[in-house]
Amino acid sequence: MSVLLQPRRLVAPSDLLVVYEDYATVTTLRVTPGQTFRSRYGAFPHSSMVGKPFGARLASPSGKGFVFLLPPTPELWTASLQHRTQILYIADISMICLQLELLPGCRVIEAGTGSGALSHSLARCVGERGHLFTYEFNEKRAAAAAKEFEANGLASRVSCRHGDACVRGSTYEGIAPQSIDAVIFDLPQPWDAVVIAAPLVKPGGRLCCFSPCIEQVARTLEVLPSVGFTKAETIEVITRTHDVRESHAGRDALAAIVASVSPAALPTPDVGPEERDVAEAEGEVAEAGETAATSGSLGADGEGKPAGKRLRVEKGDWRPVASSGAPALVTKPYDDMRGHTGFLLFATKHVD
Amino acid sequence: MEAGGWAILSLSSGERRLVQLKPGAKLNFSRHSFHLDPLVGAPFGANFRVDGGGLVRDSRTVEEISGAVGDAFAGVVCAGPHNSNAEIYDTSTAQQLDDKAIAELRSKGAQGEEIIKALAHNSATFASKTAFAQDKYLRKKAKKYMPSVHAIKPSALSVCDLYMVKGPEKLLMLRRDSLALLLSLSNVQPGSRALVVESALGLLTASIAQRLGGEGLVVAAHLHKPVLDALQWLNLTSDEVCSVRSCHLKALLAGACALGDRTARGVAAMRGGEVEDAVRGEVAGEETVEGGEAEEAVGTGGAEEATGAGVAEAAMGAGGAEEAEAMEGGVAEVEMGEGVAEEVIGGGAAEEATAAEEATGEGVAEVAMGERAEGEESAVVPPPKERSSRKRPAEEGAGGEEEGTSLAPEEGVDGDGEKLDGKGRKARVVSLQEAELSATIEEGFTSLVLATRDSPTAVLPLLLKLLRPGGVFVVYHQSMQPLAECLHACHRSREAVRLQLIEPWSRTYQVAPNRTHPMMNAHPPTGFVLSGIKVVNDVGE
Repeated sequence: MSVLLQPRRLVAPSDLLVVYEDYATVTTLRVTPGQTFRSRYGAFPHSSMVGKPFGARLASPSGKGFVFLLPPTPELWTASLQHRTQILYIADISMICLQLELLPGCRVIEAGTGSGALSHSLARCVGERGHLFTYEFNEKRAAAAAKEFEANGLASRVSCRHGDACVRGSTYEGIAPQSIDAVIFDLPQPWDAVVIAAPLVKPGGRLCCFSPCIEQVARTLEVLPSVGFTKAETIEVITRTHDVRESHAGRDALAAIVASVSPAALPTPDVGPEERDVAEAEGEVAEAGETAATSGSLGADGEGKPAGKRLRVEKGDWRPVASSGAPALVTKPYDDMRGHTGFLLFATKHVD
Repeated sequence: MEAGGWAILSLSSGERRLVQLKPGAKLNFSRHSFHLDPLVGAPFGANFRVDGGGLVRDSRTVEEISGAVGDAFAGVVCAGPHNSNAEIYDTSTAQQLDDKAIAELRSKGAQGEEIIKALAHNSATFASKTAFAQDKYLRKKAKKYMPSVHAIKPSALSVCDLYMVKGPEKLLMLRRDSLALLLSLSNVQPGSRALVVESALGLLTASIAQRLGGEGLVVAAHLHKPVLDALQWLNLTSDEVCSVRSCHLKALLAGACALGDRTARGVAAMRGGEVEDAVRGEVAGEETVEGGEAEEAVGTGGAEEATGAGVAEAAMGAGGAEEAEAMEGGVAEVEMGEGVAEEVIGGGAAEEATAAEEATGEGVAEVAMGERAEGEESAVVPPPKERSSRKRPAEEGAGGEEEGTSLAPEEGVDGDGEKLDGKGRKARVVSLQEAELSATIEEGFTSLVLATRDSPTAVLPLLLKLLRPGGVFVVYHQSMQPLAECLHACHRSREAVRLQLIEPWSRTYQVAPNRTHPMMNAHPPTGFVLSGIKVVNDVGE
């Protein structure tokens, strides 16, 4: 099974599997009975994974904790991979796949391979009918990446070679002129790489250059018309991820002061008449500690003080908090947002 | 470009239009009407200019064509080094030539270049503008008086971009960067089984079907009736269309509820069987299990593996009149566009005349024509509002009826003589029949994609039941709050991990020597994306 194919439902020996501990701790492994996966939650023999459904929770034999067994995806692979270079992130990867109009059957050139994060998404797009030719000028990195594609079951759709896309020579040996649907360059001198690869691209084929600096874009733009690329567009994409928390109105110092001066002045959440009755009937049943317990780490800020009626959370309530009259949800961007990754330059091979 | 297919035309005026290349179709542009026939047979990406009253291929690039405008007017630009715009006021009185005078020039046979020169000459302010402003003035006039057309292949990106200009609300403000995220985070690929609930004109469904490349299954759930216009616009191949099934959301949700009940009782038994499978695999090697599963898939309805006529036949076979009646909502299939109404099942009220009228010949295009005063442009984007408000007798009888939005039936679907004739795209979206439905739900989905106008909070828990454990879900909404609620609910239910609430951001740049800057108003605002992976959080064994 490859890192891409939809898996069957149950884990079998020699399956590729992602062991998920938490958001930041993700490991891809090949299920090999006899081997053991070790984590901070204890030791998990691979044999204990066999027969479990994908998506299942697996408790460690030591009882220290649990992990989830997930089917691999390019996104999970990216989260688990060994960084050999700065990698491309999901916003750029997604935009590249959309802009290059990559579909099953496409033939794509990528240089350089780097850590292979983008390569896995490209391989997903082109499918078994298409092919990815990926080049890396650092010989050791090229070998490491090739080994990974092989291990991840992508050998039939990905060719990873050692070669410099910026130097004329035998890099693209075996690739016929005008046989490539798209080329992607993530390297320091795209203006050199573009000129060499241009004849391989079909009319109407697409080009992408990922460059951190605008000067790289400007210099590449200068050469594009001379090698038949038209309709250039430069864009930047960034994503910002948000944290969601329960707003514990009434537990903050400001509200406490307001309440001490005049409890009536404290704004109450908008609760419908029926729910208000329930809230009053339940009295002090629900406490902040319980809220934290039912909501996991989310909103559990460890204060654990009795919180009063407004923090009521009914057990087994699947309804979103806002509509059940419990604390409202607030969102806040995580502080790890990137301000800039790179400029994406796209162009199309002219159709004359 | 094929006759009957769709293309996006980028006009020198800056406007983009989505057109169907029906024989004899015309394009109204720059006060002229051009036959679109010269486009047929030309590749996407080709350029055309107006010559002798018609469109002819132009082998230059779009940059060369617009650059040529500068060359043509080299002598007209006459700004001195001290010219400035300091004294220019926009009073709309600078132009001395009125419409009548221009018409007179035209009637004397004046071509675009000549008219523009006359306009510049008769502008009271042209001579005093800076060279830069003069050049800009001439280019602006050239867009109007020296028309050219660039043909763009309709794709997920180009149709999305078009709607971001024409009516972003119709796509729920699903901007290209949001669309890109949905398509990759949903992990759709050949072999996927994707459940799509969208109110974005079918663009998500069509884009996902393209990414499956005809291998796998896309179930497009709808609330009222399927709106899958984008399946035509993207010129999907028949294999791609064949992988799409439409289904009423209610049927799916009912199935999801039943699944929950059954799971409670029979999950142990089901799992026992699968474990056996796995053990067998362990002994006999991987191949056996895979083979066994493939067989099973075909046996249970064939939705996953089978393609082409085979599957259509199976669907038709299951869709006998009695079964259709037994089904909630019934079924009706109507061909749109070039096709002829072929079959209307369900409700017993097959008003063939009505259906045929809607489905024949002008079909899609006529709707639009009625709205346009010019009435000449036969191929334009059909206003979805108009289409969805139409009710046919068959539909009223049947309630939630299904509709094949594509142009004509598959070859050999039921032997009524309709064939793939290479003239236009031939395919239809088949509705998921009841027999197929339970098997499909049983099989589960590997991806869930939601992009609705209403808040997804109520429907997400049920839809998640239809997703296989380990499957990926992505939810798009225009506001962040409903997604925050979804994330929180998923988190509390402990049935999902790797939850991410993402705010996409992007901008376009002009990059030129000493004139690099972000573009103003390149794209409208967009919404937010929630993604996660479904897990089973059973503690006990």
